[in-house]
Amino acid sequence: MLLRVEDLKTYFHTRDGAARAVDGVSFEIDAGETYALVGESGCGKSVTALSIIQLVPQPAGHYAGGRILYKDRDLLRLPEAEKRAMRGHDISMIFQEPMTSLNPVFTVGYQLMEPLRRHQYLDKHAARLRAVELLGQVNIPDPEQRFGEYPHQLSGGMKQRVMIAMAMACEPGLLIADEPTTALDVTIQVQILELMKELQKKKGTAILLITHDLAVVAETADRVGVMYAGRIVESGSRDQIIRNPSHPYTVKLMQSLPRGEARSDALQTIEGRVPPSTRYPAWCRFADRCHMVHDACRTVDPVLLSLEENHAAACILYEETRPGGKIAPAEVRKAVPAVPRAEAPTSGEVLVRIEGLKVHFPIKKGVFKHTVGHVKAVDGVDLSFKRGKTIAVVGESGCGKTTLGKALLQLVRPTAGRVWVGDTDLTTLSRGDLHPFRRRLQVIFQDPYSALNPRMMVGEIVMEGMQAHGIGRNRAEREDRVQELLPKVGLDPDMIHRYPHEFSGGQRQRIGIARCLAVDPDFIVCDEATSALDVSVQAQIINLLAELQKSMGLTYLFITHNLGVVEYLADEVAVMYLGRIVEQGSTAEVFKSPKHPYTRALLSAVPQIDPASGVEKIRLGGDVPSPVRPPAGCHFNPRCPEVMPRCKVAYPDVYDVGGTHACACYLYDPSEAVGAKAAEKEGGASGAAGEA
Amino acid sequence: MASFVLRRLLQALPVFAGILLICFLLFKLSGDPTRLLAGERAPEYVRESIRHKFHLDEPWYRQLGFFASGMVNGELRSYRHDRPVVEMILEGAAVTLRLALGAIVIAVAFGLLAGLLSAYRPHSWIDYLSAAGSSVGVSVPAFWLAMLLTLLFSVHLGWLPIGGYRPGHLEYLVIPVATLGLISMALIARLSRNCLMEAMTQDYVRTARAKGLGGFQALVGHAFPNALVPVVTVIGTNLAGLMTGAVLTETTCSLPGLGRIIFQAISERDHPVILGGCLFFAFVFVFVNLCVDILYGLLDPRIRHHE
Repeated sequence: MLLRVEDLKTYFHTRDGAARAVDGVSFEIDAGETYALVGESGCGKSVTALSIIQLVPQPAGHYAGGRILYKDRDLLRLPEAEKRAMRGHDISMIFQEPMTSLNPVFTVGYQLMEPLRRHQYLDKHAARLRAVELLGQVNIPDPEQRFGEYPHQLSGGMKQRVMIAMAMACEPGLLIADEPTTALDVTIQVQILELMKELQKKKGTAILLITHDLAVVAETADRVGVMYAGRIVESGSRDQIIRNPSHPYTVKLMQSLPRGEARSDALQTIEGRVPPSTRYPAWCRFADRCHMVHDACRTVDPVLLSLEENHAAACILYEETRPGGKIAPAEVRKAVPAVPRAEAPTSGEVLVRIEGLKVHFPIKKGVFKHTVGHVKAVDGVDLSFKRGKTIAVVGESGCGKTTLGKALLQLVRPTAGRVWVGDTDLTTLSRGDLHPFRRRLQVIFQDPYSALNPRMMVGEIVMEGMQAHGIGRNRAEREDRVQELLPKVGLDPDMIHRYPHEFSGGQRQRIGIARCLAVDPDFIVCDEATSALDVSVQAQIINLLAELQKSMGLTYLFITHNLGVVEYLADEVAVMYLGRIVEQGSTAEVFKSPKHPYTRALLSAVPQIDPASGVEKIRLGGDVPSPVRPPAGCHFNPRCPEVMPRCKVAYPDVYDVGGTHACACYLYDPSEAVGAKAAEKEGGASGAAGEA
Repeated sequence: MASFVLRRLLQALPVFAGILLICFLLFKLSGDPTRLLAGERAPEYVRESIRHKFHLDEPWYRQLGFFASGMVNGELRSYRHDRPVVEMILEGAAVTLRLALGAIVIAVAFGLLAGLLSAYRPHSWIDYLSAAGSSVGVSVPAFWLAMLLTLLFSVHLGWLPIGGYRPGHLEYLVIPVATLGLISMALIARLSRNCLMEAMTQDYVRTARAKGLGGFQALVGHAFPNALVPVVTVIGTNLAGLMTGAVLTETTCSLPGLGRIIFQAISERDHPVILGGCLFFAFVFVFVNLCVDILYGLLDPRIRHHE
């Protein structure tokens, strides 16, 4: 046994007493295996990781009990000098944010040499050679040159590779990866996860993977521990947890993942929130949110009960001595009734239409700051939005999807193109004339923490827009309206006089939605509106958005990188790459038979919860190129697995591939012989390409 | 880099022109300099001849032209002392520069040291001592501190001269340098402590610790270079402030520095010297800011590559 954590208790001193972040966690990791700790934010998984590498922030954090045995040495009782010798040498760690985890003022090479010189006592020259070799091992092209570059010159994926190289430099026995791919795009996530697997196989390193993403767990872990409120509530092999989830929390967590096949049902949600770690109850901590709760749950603190070999859950439903006998896990899963999803009626009327929209930002240089080029963030986009429908724009970061949303709302004035709302072209309007349209077109932002002014009360935040648009004659009338509105978004009307910091992330996003609805809009841009939220909260917000769409006839532009949400929620999808839409169509068509090689790669990169789904990953080389100098011809050609000579010459037209489905790729050019080949390749699965 | 320096220097030209214009406007508003130069009761023909000598009887744009060309070719002369303004300013600047550099060296050395130690052991006795010293340092008026120091070291102990200045004798500078240095030090100590504490919470420091670096190594090796940018800004503005604003200390310690020269010129309505002083001060600020910006680039590669 490489690592054995026994009844670990890591507490923090706070004004409200001890915060029991980790409260009696035990697990073991064997050499060479991947153990995943999953759970939502605040459940204690990161603190567990920091406890193992002995970097819990001092002096607030302290160890109230337990042992952490690494190769039979108790890390909690090592002297500080030995802890330093252990970190980076025996146990190393990579973090969620590759952007901020590297020191911006030192070169990549210098930071990579640090552990080599410290733990392996290499001289400067030897360390340099080894560092370049390590950069090569993590598949960084041109390692000699990258060695001398600074972190800001590298993309996010590259930085995470450098972090991995640094962590693996001394070939540690255990690598702790704390949400290693959460901040990365799916196409990069695939690369990073595969790299970790490859290095693990080569060096025999054990990996402790901390993540909130069950699909990542399903694809990478050997064994899994599900954490809730400072404890492991279920543990088992990957297959046991994924195929046979047994603790009601795990069950609910799996069911709240948005999936395409469940479009007709509302998403399952977990009501309420995790109790604060300063006030855990003496009984089951999940009792207040559990769909299977009964009186006995509030009398005992459950311990892990074995269900089958290696599989255990901390729930009294599985107690042999339970009155009425032990329950079968399948019953816990069945017990969740399906609710039909709210569908909006639609008249087919086009509400908003954008034509040839372009946003180019000038790049200025030199003594007199003359313009030397343009960043073509959005470069000719056409979309039309039917009332009551949802169009999702998807793509990797830097593809221009957020700028597209801003340009539509006229928050950024477009360089060219038209934005029609009815018969009015917004791009020709002055600021004053735009004012009435600002009411009709609203936006919900990604980060519920920074989107609300911390010095304003909820009521003021919601009323501010109403005031600006003259809705309600006086304050009292507006307050009445806010009182009506808050229950509609699932908030208590009494919350009107409270400040944003008193709310959780999900509640703040509800406030953001209330702020939008207060001015009675027709059209809402949701810019990554659920990306910062936990899975169970995301499910609540998505259900809310679907309900509101039905009851108020709203139209959404949903900007996101989360393809699961898109498949569940959107009616139409537009896939964006470097400022242009490369594929567009109804969600069903695009997801069932993606046409553009980029769309195919993007969809295949999404981790699948079902390991047997058999989707073969299409690996894209490298990163999204800079929009300053997009590749000539089709912008995707340097990464495209099916590139042809003409792709490097001119940007392809948009070809109709049947139904509502269109695609900008020469593979579907009817005059191109390859077009027929591509259709053939897809077989009879879709006749659409054949028609084209 | 060259293009950056060039652009900054070009940007400074309108600043100098603006200062010239504003000073000139103020001179015109401040009354007739001949009343002070020749005395209240001087007969009109004496004033007339003074006006003629200093071109004060010509149209305003010609006068402005004389100031401008006199500043450019260095031939503008003081109304009262009949010496070139450039010579007077440089003479004063030599004293003030010694004072300012001495003070800033002390302030940076001890300020950064105090900041580092406080950030390494926050809420320890050394942190509290440094905090208390800094609050005293920023609140004490310079002239009062200078007087106290003079009383102790010059009057009671007799180790140092009471005031005045002789070129080449450093002992005259000890008290003013210590006074100004202590005050700047207070600011730098507090700021560097806070910036370091902030930097210590950053992800890259956690990465450094995860690599096996000790707390002090992470502080000095990783947090310190990142924390320096705001500290350098304050050092720069402090240095510029010391060059231009040490009037009280110079007066208390009877140093013939720039501050005193300008102060005197203002009370004598010696317009060319005032103008020279203002332009010199502007130059100091432009130069110091340029140096600070270049230092930013050296400290932070992101800024360097952005330029």
